[in-house]
Amino acid sequence: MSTKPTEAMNNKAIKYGIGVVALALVGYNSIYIQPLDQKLAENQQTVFNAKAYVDGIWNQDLSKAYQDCTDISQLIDSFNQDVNSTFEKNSHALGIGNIGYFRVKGEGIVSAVNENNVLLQVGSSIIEIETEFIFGNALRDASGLVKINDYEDTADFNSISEALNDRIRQEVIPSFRSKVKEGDSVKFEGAIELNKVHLNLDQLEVIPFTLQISS
Amino acid sequence: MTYFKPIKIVCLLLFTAILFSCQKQKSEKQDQPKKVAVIVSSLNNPWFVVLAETAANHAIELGFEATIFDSQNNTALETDHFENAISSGYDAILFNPTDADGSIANVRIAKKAEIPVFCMDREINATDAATSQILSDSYAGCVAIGKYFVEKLNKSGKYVEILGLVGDNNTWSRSKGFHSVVDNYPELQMVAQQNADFDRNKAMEVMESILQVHPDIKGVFCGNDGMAMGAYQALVAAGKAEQVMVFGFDGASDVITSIEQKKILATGMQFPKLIARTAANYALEYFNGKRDFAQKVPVTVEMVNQENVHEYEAYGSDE
Repeated sequence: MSTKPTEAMNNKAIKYGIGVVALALVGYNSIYIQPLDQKLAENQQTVFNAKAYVDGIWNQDLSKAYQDCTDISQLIDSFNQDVNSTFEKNSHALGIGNIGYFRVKGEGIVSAVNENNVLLQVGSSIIEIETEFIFGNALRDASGLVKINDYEDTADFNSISEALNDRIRQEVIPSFRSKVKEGDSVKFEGAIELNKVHLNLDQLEVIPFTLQISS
Repeated sequence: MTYFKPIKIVCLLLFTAILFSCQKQKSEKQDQPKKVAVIVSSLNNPWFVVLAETAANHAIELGFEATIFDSQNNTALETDHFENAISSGYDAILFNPTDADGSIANVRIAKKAEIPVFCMDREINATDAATSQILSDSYAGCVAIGKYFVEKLNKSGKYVEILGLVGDNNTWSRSKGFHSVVDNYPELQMVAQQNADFDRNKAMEVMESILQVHPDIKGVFCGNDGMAMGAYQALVAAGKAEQVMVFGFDGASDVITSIEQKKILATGMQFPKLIARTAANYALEYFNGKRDFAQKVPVTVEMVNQENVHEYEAYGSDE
């Protein structure tokens, strides 16, 4: 009679023991511990690297696209003849709306070096080479190389413009600004943004892709 | 030789009658005009009223029946509208989402029911749910505003940003576009960034409390025109309307007038009528058999400022 409570206790202990082991097994297999820096590095791999993408297309696709562009004086002549067909033939646009982007090239004489831009006399036109506000999508969209529907995240698509503009601001503008002076002859390739409905051809503003001074 | 028993004949007749009835219902449905639901995030903002009404009116012009549903910026209510639209036999949904993530499930419900959804203005964070998304290019519009902001503030000074709804992609596209320019100028110092949910009254309250801590700001960038008007009201009440430059986004009627009166400096003109009409046209193309729609169709945004305001009218052109 006196052994019965001890047996019951032993049985309970065995049951609890099995339960604890089972819980430990389930717990062990449910949790996977990984160093935080390793996990962060894995996440980083899925982040779109706009700078690397821009660096990758710079020398081949982008340079090629900007070598193949319309002379700015011819473009102005074309606008004076027929705005709609010039937009249809020469502009790139992402979707719906009045704004189109054009790849242009030209050569002119520096008539003024201002805080935010350099003015060139190109034929009978004054062309503004932007040197301060290199922002927006003009260079990306005028190239015609990048399509929004190739990017699930629109922020990735926009970051391409930022990377492209950064490189222009860091590599193209400083050396140009440090040397350019009135009377210089400047060759340029770049992009312009124009509005079909509110078209203004006075002092077209070029976002440069290349700038070359020949005194 | 086999003979049909009477019970078998009755069953056959019944089956034929059911088939005939179904066919008749189907042909009756084909004869009826298509039904289009216009589900819009909020009708508490005139911009969305223009978007919804233009979508519904253009759908009617195209020969559809159209009904507007107001989600009141509430994803749960939006879900009710989707379930309602599906159970009531709507054929397409022209949709302005309340939340880039929270609205995905609703679009998927419609997709499962084989009802096409065309998103208008606001994006959802999925490219395999909606039939197409016709979206304002908020980022590019705010890059232009950012440039103008830097020029007008002469590259230095304290400023404030008032954000829209935190869950809406447009809020962040606008903010990122603006900051992609402004953050390059270290002497421009953002002293406060707060959300006011695209709401005029909230923006006024937010601006009032910010002004108590930062009375020396030079500029305010607001994620929509309603908030810009609210911020301006707060500045007038504090006697600082002359000192602080206000920038909005939308192209709403009262802001265009305020730009003319030099109360607001600039806004990003979106084209709600163009977006709405395009969405209704896409629904027509879908009914006519088209399936290969571009997932994202950006609609350009144009800056309206002190120099060009005379060229624009509220909500842009109808084309």
